[in-house]
Amino acid sequence: MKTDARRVLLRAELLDGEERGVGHTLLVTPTGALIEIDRRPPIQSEVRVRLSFPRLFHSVEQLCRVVAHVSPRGPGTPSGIEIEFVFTSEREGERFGAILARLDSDAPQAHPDDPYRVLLVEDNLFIRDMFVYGVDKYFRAHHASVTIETAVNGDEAWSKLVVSDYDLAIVDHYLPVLDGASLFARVRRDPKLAGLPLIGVSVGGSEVREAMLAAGADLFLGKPIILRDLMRTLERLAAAEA
Amino acid sequence: MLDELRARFKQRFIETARARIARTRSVDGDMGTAASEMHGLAGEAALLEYAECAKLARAAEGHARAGEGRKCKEVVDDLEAAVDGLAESGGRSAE
Repeated sequence: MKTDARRVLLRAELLDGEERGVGHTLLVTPTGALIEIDRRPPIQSEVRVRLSFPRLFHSVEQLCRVVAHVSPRGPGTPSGIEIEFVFTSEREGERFGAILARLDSDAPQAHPDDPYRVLLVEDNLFIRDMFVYGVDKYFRAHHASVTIETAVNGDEAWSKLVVSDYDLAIVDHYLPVLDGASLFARVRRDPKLAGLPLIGVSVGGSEVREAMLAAGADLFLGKPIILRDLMRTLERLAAAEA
Repeated sequence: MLDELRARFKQRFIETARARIARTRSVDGDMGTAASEMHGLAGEAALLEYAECAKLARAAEGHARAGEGRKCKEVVDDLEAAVDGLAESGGRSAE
């Protein structure tokens, strides 16, 4: 696996017969990917993987072979599977490579007058402060235009979502009023908000992951979130909006 | 990014962690509060990638949610030692 490839978080769905699993990519190259996911199909087995992220990456489905199971080796290290893409023809490989190529290039700049607006829903003031600091620091350094607003619970988030025009919401699950999964379900039911990209975050483990994905999260990130990866993803989302 | 975050927030993390540990010890059977404090601390430690603190806080949260007061207290003792180790490491990371 190429380790110097651009790292972008994409939703990764494992379509393995009746069994399905949802995780996210940590690394994608023209030949394979590293996917953080609970499921562990046998090594050398073939599975179909669907990669997507709203407004960033249209859904693409590809046959893959599982080449390794990856165990965590410390904080922020991946746990999941390494796959290689299986192409039935050279042409298919070239087409797939062309789709992925833009993930491997520098993102264009978002327009400074039209910032990409993110709503962070998190009741922990300390975490909010760290996140806002990280976003500000990263995007200043990259001369990109991203603004971040915050809400402390699901109700406040809902009030902001219905009157403002956000491009993305990042939502913790455990909130004092209206939890993250309930907020996602409400967003998905609303015709005007249903298409909003949603990222769920929590230390709550697989139970919370399932709840948030079932409620409509595009991505679920267990903490620790690798902020750098999230920032790069935001950078591309912002550029896609410009 | 992580180095900058730690440089800016490490001291606050240590102070917050100690306050959460003290509140957890003083709950007198209120396991819901203990779980909430440990949950908060686990998230903070995780974002700064202080793995040992995050792991212990998560374990303490689990014991609190299961009503296992004694086990929770034991893990909180270990957590306090981990936070102290972090504080003593100065500008360096203990993890």
